[in-house]
Amino acid sequence: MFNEGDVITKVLNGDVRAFEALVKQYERLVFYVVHRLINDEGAVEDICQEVFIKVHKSLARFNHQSKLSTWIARIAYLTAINYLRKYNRSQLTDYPDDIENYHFTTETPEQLLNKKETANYVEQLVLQLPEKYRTVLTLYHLNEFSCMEIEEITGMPEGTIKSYLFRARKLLKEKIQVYLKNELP
Amino acid sequence: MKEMSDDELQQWLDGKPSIHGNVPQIDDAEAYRNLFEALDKEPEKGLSYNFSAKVARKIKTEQKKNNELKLNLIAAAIFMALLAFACGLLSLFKVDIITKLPPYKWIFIFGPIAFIAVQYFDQKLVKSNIFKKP
Repeated sequence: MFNEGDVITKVLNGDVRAFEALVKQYERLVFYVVHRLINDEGAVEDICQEVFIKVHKSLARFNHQSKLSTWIARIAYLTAINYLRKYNRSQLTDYPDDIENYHFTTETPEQLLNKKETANYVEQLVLQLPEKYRTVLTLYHLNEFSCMEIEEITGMPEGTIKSYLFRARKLLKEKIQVYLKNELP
Repeated sequence: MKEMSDDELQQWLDGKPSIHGNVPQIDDAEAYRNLFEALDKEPEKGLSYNFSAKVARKIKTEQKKNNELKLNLIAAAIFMALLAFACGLLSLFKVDIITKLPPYKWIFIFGPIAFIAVQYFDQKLVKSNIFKKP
């Protein structure tokens, strides 16, 4: 069983195998955050590696005031955001005033073919949302963090997080309703 | 009973009870249920199966490089210290070291400096940077 305290002590004593166990424990968490933020398959694994190297270097500064998962998720979030700022500014969109009228561009023939499953369709829609909405949806639904933990990870106020969650889900629900109506006989 | 607003519906799906005792509209509830299921579904893709081993290997390589650099710097510093000590001894015995030493004496002085510089820049410049796009 994974014992967080023991593993941290071992890693700080230079045990690389213990760090490997830590990576195994949190690699999915890091992957979800990075994968949803960076729409570049080739870069995702490299960035995940960079996240864990940063975790290894700064583990001595982890003060146990938050959960280790929250702390690692914050490193993953900041690393992904830095990457986007540096290389992919187009994916870093500002908060749109009229998210309710957000325009998705999924209606190409190729993408219509991919609409076989609702999950795939939703995944495609989520990837087109502004970065802050993607982050909040991923951290809440995939990583199962609470709004307070998301506040700790992203630095966004809790009220804003709730608002992003509500607006994004409402927007996606409307798209799903149309999709289900067209799919069902 | 009134129908639930989107806000109430989302809270209801999050497992929080409806404060006003409102009921969900079937159409909306179904769409939200589908959405929540889709959002909770893990992506099909993932990291490579040996990802943790790759990270561990990278950390070991970096640690090895850092240790080598430290050793080289210590060796160079000891050499410089010995050189300075020898010069000090010679000047103590009033030996004119500048004229007594062979003409290639500067190699002994600048050699270690060049060695340290090469080691340092090798670590800083050769080190791969993942943010460098091909």
